[in-house]
Amino acid sequence: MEHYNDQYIDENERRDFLKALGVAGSVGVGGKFTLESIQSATTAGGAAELESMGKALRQDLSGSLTASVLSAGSAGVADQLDRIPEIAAMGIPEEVGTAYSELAEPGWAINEHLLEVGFYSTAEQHLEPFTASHVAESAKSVISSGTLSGLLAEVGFDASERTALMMSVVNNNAHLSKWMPIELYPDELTGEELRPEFVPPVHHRAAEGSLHWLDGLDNWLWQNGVLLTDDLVSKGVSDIKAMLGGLYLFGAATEQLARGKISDKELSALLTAGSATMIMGQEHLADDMIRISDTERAPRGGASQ
Amino acid sequence: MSKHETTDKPGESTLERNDTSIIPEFDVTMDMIRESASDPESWLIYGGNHQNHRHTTADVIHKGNVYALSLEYKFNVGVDPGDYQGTPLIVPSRDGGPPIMYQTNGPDHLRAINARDGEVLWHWSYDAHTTVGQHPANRGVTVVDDTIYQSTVDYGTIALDRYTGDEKWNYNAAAEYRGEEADGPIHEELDYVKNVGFASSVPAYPYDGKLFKGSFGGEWGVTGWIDAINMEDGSREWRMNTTPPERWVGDSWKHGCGNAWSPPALDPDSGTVVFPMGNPGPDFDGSVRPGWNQYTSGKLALDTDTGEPQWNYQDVPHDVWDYDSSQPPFIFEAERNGETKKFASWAGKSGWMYTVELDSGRLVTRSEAPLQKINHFMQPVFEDYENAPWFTPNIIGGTNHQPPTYDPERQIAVIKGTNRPVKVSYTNIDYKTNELYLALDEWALAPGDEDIEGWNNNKGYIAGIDPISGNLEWRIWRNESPWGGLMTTSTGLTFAGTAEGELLALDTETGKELWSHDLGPGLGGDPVSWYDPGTDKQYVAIQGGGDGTLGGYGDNGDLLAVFSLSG
Repeated sequence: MEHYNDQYIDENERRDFLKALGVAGSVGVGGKFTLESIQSATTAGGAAELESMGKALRQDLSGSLTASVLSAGSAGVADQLDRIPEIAAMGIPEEVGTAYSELAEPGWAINEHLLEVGFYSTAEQHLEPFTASHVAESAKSVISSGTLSGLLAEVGFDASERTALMMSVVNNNAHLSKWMPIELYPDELTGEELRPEFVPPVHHRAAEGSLHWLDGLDNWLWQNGVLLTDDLVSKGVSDIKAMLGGLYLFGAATEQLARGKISDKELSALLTAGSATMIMGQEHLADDMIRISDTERAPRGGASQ
Repeated sequence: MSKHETTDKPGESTLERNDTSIIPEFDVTMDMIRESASDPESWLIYGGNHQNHRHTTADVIHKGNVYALSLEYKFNVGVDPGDYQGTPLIVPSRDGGPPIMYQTNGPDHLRAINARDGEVLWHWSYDAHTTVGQHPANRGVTVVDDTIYQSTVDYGTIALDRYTGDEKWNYNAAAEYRGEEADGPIHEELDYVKNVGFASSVPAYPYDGKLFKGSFGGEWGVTGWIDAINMEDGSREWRMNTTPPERWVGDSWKHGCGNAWSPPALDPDSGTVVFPMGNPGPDFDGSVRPGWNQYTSGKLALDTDTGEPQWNYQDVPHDVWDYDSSQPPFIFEAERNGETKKFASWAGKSGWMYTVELDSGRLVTRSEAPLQKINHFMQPVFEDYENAPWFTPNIIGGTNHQPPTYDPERQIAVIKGTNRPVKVSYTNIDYKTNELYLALDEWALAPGDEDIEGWNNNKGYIAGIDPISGNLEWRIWRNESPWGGLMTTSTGLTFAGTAEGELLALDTETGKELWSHDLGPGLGGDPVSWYDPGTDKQYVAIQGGGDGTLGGYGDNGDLLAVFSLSG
């Protein structure tokens, strides 16, 4: 998996991103850019498909979402994103506390509401899976409209972070495509004995998976202090911020759907971008801070041991 | 075959009983089990003591005379191919009579044996009426008072009279699953093919009137559990679901596995039992089960009274390499930073030894790697076997269930493991009842002559590690992966079987080989030792069957061998 943290992105990854968006010719290949600097060159393609998906989703969920719940949840997620500098400064907790699990609390409220109204099943039914084209078209849509940048800027993502976040999603489309809706499993895996009901819808996996990771960090970081370094924790905090950023996009899309203030196209694109960001955030978290090799770990017999 | 007392159970048992009059009748009390580590005449529990030290205080055999250790007897047990990965128990002699060995092998054979000469006194076996494939391990039994507790491949625990082999009761753990009563004797989702060691029948651990026993089936999508069973009547005291729904996304917990298919270690002082926890399900596709996949691929400490979790340490959260933490842990007391505390240690399939504080589960040391790490933690490729990289630890693990030994006098743990790269490609899979639930596309272990960067072409190792410092004190490379457990002695020896069929005696402090004896079949059993005052000899026993199809663990056989040295 390619990493979205700006300092780890090389020229090839920048080039791949621009090519996927179809704007490689508009920007100096490999050069530094931001979502804002490529906004005007990015053309939203696949609008009809995105609109169609969004329309079906809106029709099925009409009236079931409660804007106030989602609004409160999104505001809570924004508040938690404000705490990221505090979390980064704390790093490894000295005792098992709640600093990390508190990050997830507003997200659980959003998740619970979406489960209650059957949102995730409906989203999986109507939204395309994470194919390369769907991911790219969704990205183009939210980049060209400026929606993504605007929402992420609201909650503390600077231009560099916003760009890196979207690059991570687009460049990892092959990895994202492995998070498949169960209905798309190969034919030979289907049959009367098939029991797919235990596999949650993919957007549910994206959101609730992120929340579980956040919930477990207080204990895990405390347990593994002898392995962790400042660098590992710093990377991990970036991943935590990414998961919360994805959750904020997802929450904003559902809130605006509840209020009737989002277009069908934007709804599809923003939900896809939010889910994909949460997926990549949790995958990177596991890589960056949880699975620690001997070359990455703190020295054995160090001060803390 | 003789008529015998049987119990209501899913399958059918058979008892062959010879002259059992030489079995001395006395209770093997919990006090005896608790003190077994300091009793040179017995081996009363799977791990040698509750803390799993596998360390004998019998001191006839030492570095200066081990060269004279010789074969007392050996015999073919009679089930070939079978499974000989177990720890025989030794109940000490009384009034000059012989010690009694209780020996198990798969599938579901239990024998009472005169430990002096190998005469089989009674032989109980069980046809579980379930499909049994290759090598369904049975890794040992439990003895308390006048009762033997035998685990079976159909999730049963059967209590037998240890003098006669007559049955007292059966606890059928598969009669209820995820809160549903089974329609028949076994819940339909637990009636899969029991094979390749995946269906390991491990001994229940006894403490305070209860037996603690986990589930198996981590390659079959089985939701895990740990039971406490009442020793007297076989009723269930509590069941702990090891894939707690509130910690998993949606219903992914229902096939999340998290089985506890190896025996735990137990601290009698605090009433803490520490279970080895298996892989999440499906093994290789993590996308259907996001998050930590609590409590998989690590250790889970429970309160023995209630089953309430005390702590969980995950070696590999959200595991996608089949990195169970299957090695039984050991519990010990040691000084660290000027303070004497209790710790739990184990080496996981991830290929390090972990040491945590027993009271909190906080990691204090992760050791040097005893094997060569190649592309460790690289994400498995999706349906692209041709381009899959070699990696270690492989899916059999840097270590596996092979029970370690801990020498408390020298503060050295000795482990065995695998150092053989593997290629893996995964795919999508959906759960179907009684079918493998791996999400494995293709895989292969490296042939021995493959030129792989970072690999020395040795497929296995035996290593001595200080669990407090994490230092790798020594390591012996082996051509083949050694299976089976190890044993240390108070005289500074380590005994270990090898896949090539040798029983080795090593210097615990250096790993230097001091003695060996070629027995033929791959030795997948766990060595045990005892002193018999009636003969003034110290004995060492081990079983071997060339067990396993996953990595080639030696020639097949059905051997029980006992060595001795006079005092």
